[in-house]
Amino acid sequence: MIPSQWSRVLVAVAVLGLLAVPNPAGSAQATPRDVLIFGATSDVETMDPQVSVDNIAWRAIYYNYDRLVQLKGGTTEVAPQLAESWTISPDGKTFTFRLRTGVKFTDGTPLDASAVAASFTRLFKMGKGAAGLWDGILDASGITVVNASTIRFTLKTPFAPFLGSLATDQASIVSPGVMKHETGGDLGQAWLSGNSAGSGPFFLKEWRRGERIVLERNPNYWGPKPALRQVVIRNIPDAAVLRDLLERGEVDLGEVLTDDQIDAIKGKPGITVFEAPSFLATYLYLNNRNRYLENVKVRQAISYAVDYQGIIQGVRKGRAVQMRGPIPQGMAGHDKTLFQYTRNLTRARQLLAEAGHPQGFELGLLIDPGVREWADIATIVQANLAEVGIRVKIEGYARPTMRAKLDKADFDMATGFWTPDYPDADMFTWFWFYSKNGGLAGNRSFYSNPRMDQLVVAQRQEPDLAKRMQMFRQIQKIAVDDAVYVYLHQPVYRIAMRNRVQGYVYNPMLLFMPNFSGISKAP
Amino acid sequence: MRSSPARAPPFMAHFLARRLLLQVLVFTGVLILTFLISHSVPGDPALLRAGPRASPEIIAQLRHDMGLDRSLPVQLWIYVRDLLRGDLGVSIRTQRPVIQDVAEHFPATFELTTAALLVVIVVGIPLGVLSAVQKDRFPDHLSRVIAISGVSLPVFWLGLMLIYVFFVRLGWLPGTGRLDMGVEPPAALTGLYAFDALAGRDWAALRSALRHLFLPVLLLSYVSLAPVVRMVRSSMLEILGQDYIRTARAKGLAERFILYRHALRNALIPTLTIIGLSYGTLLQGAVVTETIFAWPGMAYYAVGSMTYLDYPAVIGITLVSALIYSTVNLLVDLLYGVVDPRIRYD
Amino acid sequence: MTEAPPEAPRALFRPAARGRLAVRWLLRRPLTLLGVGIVLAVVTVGLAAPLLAPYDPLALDIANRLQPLSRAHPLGTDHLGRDMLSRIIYGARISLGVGVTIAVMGALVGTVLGLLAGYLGGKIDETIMRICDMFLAFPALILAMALAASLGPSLRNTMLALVVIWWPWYTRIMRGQVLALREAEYVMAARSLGASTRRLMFLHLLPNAVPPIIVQATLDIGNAILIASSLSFLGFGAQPPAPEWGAMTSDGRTFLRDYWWYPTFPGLAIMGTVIGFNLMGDGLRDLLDPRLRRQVGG
Repeated sequence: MIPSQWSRVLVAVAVLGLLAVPNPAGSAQATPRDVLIFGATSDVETMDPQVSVDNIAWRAIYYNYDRLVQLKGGTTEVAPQLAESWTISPDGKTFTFRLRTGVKFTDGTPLDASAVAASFTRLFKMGKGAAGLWDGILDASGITVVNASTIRFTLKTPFAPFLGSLATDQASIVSPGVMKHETGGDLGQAWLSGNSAGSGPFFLKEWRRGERIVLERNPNYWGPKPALRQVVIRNIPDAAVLRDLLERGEVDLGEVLTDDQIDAIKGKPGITVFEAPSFLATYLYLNNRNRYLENVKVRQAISYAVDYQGIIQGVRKGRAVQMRGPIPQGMAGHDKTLFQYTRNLTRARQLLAEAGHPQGFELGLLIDPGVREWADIATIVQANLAEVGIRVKIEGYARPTMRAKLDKADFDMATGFWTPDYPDADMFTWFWFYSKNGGLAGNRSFYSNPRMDQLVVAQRQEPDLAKRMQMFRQIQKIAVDDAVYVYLHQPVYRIAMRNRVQGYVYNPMLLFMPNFSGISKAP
Repeated sequence: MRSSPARAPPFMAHFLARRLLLQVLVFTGVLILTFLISHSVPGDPALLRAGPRASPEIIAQLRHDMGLDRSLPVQLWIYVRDLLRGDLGVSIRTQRPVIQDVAEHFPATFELTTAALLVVIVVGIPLGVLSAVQKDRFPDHLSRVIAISGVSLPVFWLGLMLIYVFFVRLGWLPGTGRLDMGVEPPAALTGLYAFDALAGRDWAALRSALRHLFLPVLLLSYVSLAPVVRMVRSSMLEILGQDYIRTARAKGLAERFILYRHALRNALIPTLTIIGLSYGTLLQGAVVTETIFAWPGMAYYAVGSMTYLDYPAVIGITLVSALIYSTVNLLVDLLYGVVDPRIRYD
Repeated sequence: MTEAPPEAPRALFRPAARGRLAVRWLLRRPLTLLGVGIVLAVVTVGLAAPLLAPYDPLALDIANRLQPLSRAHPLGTDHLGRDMLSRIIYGARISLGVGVTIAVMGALVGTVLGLLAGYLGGKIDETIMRICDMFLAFPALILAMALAASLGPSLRNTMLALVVIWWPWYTRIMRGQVLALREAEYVMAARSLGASTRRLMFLHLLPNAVPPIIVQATLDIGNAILIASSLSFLGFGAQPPAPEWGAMTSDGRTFLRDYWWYPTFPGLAIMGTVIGFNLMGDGLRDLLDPRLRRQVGG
């Protein structure tokens, strides 16, 4: 035997064994009262609000910045933030904002009208995904600095949801100081992707990629002081581990957990589960340029063949409501009397026969297999359509490739999510149905209908509310009759937290962005 | 066998030179291969970089800036030129230079693989010796089982089981990350949390870091043990059967003395090679280990980049890992050449 | 380096004697026997999948999702109600197909190149060996991921990527064998009798050089299954709804705590199959030439 070598091994094992003793004070490990530990299952790619189009990443960005307006509490009502007041011209094209004075960015630059102008100019100049919200509405030439505390936006066309659009993450006011970090004409993108330069209640203190993001309270914030001194967003990609840490109290608040996991911890001691309807539209794109899908009867057949309730049960454990047309329930403009497809295989087969395809045919279904929901929806749809003779082939691609194919109409069917950036049904109509928005811009079915075009453009500019609602009714009817998309469901938003987390307010427009500035922890 | 390993500079230098030249050649091939892979990525890199909203002018400008409108050989030349300057391109995902991303994630992987390598050496060598000495008896069978299970078990599955048992059920060890939720990382020195914590006498961080290292290192070392144990065992067996050992035994020397002075030292020579190759196994095992434990190292970054098709990062990671891997092999070869004079005259 | 020249393999001319010898040899080695048994079992399951599987592996049954082990579903159901047992049975087909394809293709390409390099020598040898070194400079999994990602996530592309990675090992082995055997007496005898290069390569060298290739290929079926399932686990290989073991383990990951059977059984299936091939390969190695142990790398 070799005692000396073995004894070395034994000593090592013993030392390591000592370390395996669990933390003292068992569960509910006390983290300081003014620090919130947030468990996130996905990481952030960039912290630049004028680049990022990742809804989930916005949670780490939103509260580092202010915007001209904000959403009041949990509502979709617009309230002042950096702008104290505003006037709108009668033609609806000119918005003049009076800015709050005495506000400074965290880098010391004063926040005045020229800073606001510089921020929006940067947004439009970079032309990244975030700028798409104001395509055709506003560009750099429409921004005028009237005086140090007054700024004017002149829109190209009237745009009813404009005010609401200024409360989005993309409309965050970024300090002109980022230009000091510009390299190679990137307008400071490389620097801002890893830093914050805002005037918000928090700022980015530290970011260890793949590990944690630390947001710290802005000591010079002009608004109400947040109860939390720090928000630590920990990267925990394994939802099962996150669920466990929540149960033990090592994490205060976390998402995204699966419905199974939330059901499992609901009712456990110390855990609160918050639930509310959301505007997250889950739907299927039907490429109207495909030789089968261009026939409306085929699209209707597919709409009759899909098992909506089965998908809701299988993918969301019943915590979702079937969509009734493109405008989600809860949003002004939604038509409760609209026709809703339900599973009817006989009707589906009949329609296919009428369309001239009684034997069925083949279709591809494009997904990003990394999104578990999409993989599951695709599997169920594949089985559903097989029953009427349509053979579906699931095509999984990495997200960037999937997006590239979507943009080029290089697919047959695809799965999709869509959330409204501003609280207006325009988000689910103009983007989804306007023929010029084909591809990633929003019209992912590449639908083209002159009557529909006319309606969706008109509703944007219509100041009269009653007339506008009438237009939405017409839009929804065409959208459903023409089965442009397969409208699946809107899930119930659910988030789990420890009881000691207080002051959480849900805003359906700020999905995945808990209100860190208002949250506090009870002792 | 040739005469004693006298220091004969011309031969040694010749060997060194040849080996290094070979390395350069191989690495050039690696570069070209990686470059070709990067250009088979579907999708337009300029479009990906600019984003879906960008106007055609911006995309065209970006294409020009990225050199995508030039011919393939010219692009290769630009690529090599930038590489020599340390410029691995800009990650589409993080908008930062890839070299910066890699540098940030490197310490975590280094900590993990080095700790695992230490365990492999400290446990693997004695286990191999024990197997050889106790051939075909219980310890031998046990180590064979450990070795075989190590290479047969799916790493990802074993990792999930470890987390399930030690974290979920027993609650003894953490299941994710490098530190506990509320613990601050130690003052940065090397980026190796355990080392930095020790250096800074940050005992809370040290304990947290070591506890978080335990399971990933256990997983990674377990699946890398087999080759080392096998090699030590077979080398020892071969040597123990040789004439000079029998002579030593006949002379009445103590068994332990024989084992150490003669057998083990000579058995270590091929073992060195295997340890060098282990580093390759460790790097690959790190891919799944870091993914399962959310250990933010290079492998974790690699998987994220590949999933995202962030092709500059994909190339950067592939190159860097090839560089590390082949450098380790080079060192082992050189060391082998120094230690075993027979190789030099090949 | 001095080494005793390899002998020409013993010829056993009576098939019956060979058969009896093989069985006696097997019985003396319980581990190898176990390995062969496992491999045979897995192959049978794979081939007879339609007969053995109680359900269609793709048949959904949402109402019965995540059911524990029961008479109706001996290994439970997954999150879409599919029967785990049936999926694991069909998964054997996929894994075996993947493993055998990669090992065989890799061995074929590598062997031919190694034969050429070893026998023809000179510039051809140098070129082939340098290309080998180039591929071997990459950690296999990283290169496989990069290739699979570039080509697009699918099982076929993953297999292609792995074949590309695998062939250099066989080239090295084959070349080593050829170099050693080139100077063997029977080869020189054949040459002096005027045999052509091609005849020498294929009729004389190849059959005698092949044993370590077979050993390595057997072991590699298991290794290929492991790596392919790892890649599927990471999201690069099999796509939904294919019942591939690695992908099933990955799907089951979030369910481990409350529905333990979901990721456990696919993982055990992988482990069992790979152990089988490893044990069988080890046994083959012992059978074909004990001295090979050192050459192939312990």
